[in-house]
Amino acid sequence: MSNSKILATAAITSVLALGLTAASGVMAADEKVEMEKCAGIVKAEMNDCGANGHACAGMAKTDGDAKEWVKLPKGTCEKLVGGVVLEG
Amino acid sequence: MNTPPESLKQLQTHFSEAVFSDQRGLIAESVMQQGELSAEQRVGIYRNSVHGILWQYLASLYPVCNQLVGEKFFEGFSDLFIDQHPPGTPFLADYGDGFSAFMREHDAFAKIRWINQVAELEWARHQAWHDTNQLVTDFSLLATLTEEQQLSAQFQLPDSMQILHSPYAIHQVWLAHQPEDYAGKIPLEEIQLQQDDYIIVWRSERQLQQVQINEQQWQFLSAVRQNKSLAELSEQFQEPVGVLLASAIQHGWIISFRNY
Repeated sequence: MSNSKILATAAITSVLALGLTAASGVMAADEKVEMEKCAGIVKAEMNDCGANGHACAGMAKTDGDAKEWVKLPKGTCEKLVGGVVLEG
Repeated sequence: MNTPPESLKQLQTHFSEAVFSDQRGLIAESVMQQGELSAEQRVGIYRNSVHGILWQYLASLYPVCNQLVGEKFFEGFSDLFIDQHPPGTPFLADYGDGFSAFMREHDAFAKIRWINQVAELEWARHQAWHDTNQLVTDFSLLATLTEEQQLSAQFQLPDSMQILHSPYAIHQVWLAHQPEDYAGKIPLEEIQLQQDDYIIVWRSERQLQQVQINEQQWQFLSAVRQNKSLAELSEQFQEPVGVLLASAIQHGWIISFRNY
């Protein structure tokens, strides 16, 4: 066995030793989740898409701004303090 | 003899020239004068409005550079950039590329070259943020490959991964301008500017990650990006290849693999 083969096998063993399997949040490709826009609960710089007089995702200036939103699985927003579902 | 009317294309071209330069004469011929404002002044309102929006956008893309050179200089410099590099696509997130190269060519930055390197880091952050999130592969599947397949396996970085090298300590400079108390953050005046910096920036879910790595990790990730197989990576990096690979996967710097 060449030196490279030995090193490669050892490298694979190192990776397997980490015990990393698929992330728990991984979904099957055909599983679709209905989403809705949720405003009022976004941290600064964590918003989705354009809103509130700026053009870009990640440009919200303050935490919890009533006009900044993120997309969340439908039904989540109404469970959050300060969360307001936006139409469209 | 009457002058033939401008075609729509000519009108748009002249309007664009008026907005992105001081050449307002041609468009002024097509604009009516009203009240106390001349045709040129009326077109000027559009120019100021477009410049204002793009300048604010550039300031949001390059906040550390803005602080380093001062808002007044940044605004004037942005005006020059906007005139010479008008937006080329209708997607605003595409705008701002080439700002660091524009800085590099400008005399004002001749003795402070490190600032345009900071601009490159800020542009890398912007690019990473606007890339897509990807699922992480189940790496336990590596165990199912034959020995030959393992040797030919290629590993993949997140699409958003930006790999940077600078001869200046731009990560420290960037940290010094953040309001948060990041580990390792020191005041700007205490930073030893002339030292090589190896940095990666990538997007993980809704978080932008920026990490300083060592030269060997930088070389390893660069080699992975070149689609080198595990056999080639082992040949190049020898014994550390195991630690480099496992560590990169553990940190989320490598998210999947493919084999042929």
